[in-house]
Amino acid sequence: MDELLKLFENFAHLEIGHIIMWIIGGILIYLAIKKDMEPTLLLPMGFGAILVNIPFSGAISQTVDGFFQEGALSTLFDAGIANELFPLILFIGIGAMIDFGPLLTNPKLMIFGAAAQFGIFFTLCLASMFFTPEEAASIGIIGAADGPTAIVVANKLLGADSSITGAIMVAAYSYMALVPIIQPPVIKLLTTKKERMIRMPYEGKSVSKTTKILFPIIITVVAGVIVPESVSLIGFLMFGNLIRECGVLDSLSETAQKVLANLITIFLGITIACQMQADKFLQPATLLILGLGLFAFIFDTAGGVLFAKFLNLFLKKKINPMIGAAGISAFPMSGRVVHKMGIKEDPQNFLLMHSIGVNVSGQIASVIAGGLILKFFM
Amino acid sequence: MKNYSKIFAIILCLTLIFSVSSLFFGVSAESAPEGGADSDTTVGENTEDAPEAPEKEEKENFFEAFASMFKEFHPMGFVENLRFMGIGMLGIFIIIGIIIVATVVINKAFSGVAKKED
Repeated sequence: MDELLKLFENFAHLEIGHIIMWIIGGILIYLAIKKDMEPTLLLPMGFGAILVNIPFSGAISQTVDGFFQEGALSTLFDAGIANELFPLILFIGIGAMIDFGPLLTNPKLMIFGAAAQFGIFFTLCLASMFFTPEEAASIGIIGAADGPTAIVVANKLLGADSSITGAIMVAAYSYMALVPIIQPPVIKLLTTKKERMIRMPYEGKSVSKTTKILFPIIITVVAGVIVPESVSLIGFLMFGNLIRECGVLDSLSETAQKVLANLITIFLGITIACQMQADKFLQPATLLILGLGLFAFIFDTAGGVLFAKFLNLFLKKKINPMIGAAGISAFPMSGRVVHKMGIKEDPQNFLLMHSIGVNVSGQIASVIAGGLILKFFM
Repeated sequence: MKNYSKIFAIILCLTLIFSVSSLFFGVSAESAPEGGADSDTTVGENTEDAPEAPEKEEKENFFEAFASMFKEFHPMGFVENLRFMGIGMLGIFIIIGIIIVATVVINKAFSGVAKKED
């Protein structure tokens, strides 16, 4: 009988925090499957949250009865997230997926990518009222809307063991999935119907293959010389793009876009959950971080839209201010959201090429912003 | 829906003006909490170097921990870090500006090649 009871003794170690984290994991899984919100990230994170919040879970390293037990998720975390390897390798895949063509036909669009990083620094200032400067900077980088950048910056500034790193990672990935919900109301608040109906005809100019090959190299050199701390981030992203554009590495490009990106996404998603243990995650600071992360996204969107409206004061050929909102790094979701809003206002207004161009420039600008944050605070 | 762009624009402009001016006039950071993940003012973390506190209850409850966050509230932190906003936004615009110029130059240099490829 005692041995039978021993089977169920772990139930006695269940705490309310574990149950709450199971519910949070379940919500992430629900959003991934039922609402189709970034399922590649939210589903592994949600399931991982459940795995690590089972008492004495064998998935994480811990000391049980004086003996150290190594867990697979902790090993993966140390192998790929604590040293920022997984996010950087994922950037190779992301770079291979990006087509800079729409941006290269109209390079001026890159300026909106710069403007849409405003939320990062505004949130840094807001967060510094509650946190240390390094923590505030790591929270501000949620506004980069880029999971790998957020992981790299948070790890470098705070270390992998910080109690708020998990909340930062979860916020970064979750808000990326919520872009179609967060951005439209903000855009509508800041623009009039007339502005949203501004047409931007697309003049499809051809871009030479040489330009497409030189572009990633030039960006890496320019950004790297000015902000050396960003070399790993921008370098891996542009390396992936170079593999794509060079034209002689089709198999590598395909591998990077599909197999490599999917493999790392699986590991990244489930391993981030290591930071979602109840005692680390269920802190008041987590709520504050989630709130500040939302602010970052809102002010990113506002920064891009208002910059476009500011430029319209001086331009004869007006820009549709909505494309400024696409300057966040959530590629290609943000570009599609802006395009859909444009179609809704005027079915003949195709903003996709412009919004995707701006969206892609946001990817570059967010990585540069991450490098600048590291330069200021390391 | 009402257009709140003027309010947002005013907030953004004021923030940018203060951030750029803080580059020149600066705000003393003496009163700021010290940097580093193991600072005393870190929220929700127990530091190894913290002085021994008198014996307290083993665990603060969630609401006590939430309230203690606001005891550490440091409003001047916003002003002290505005310079990073100024330098950061300026830096991004400068780097992106250089990249735009470089892209325009290579586009013009190789536009003939693009036509041949077509």
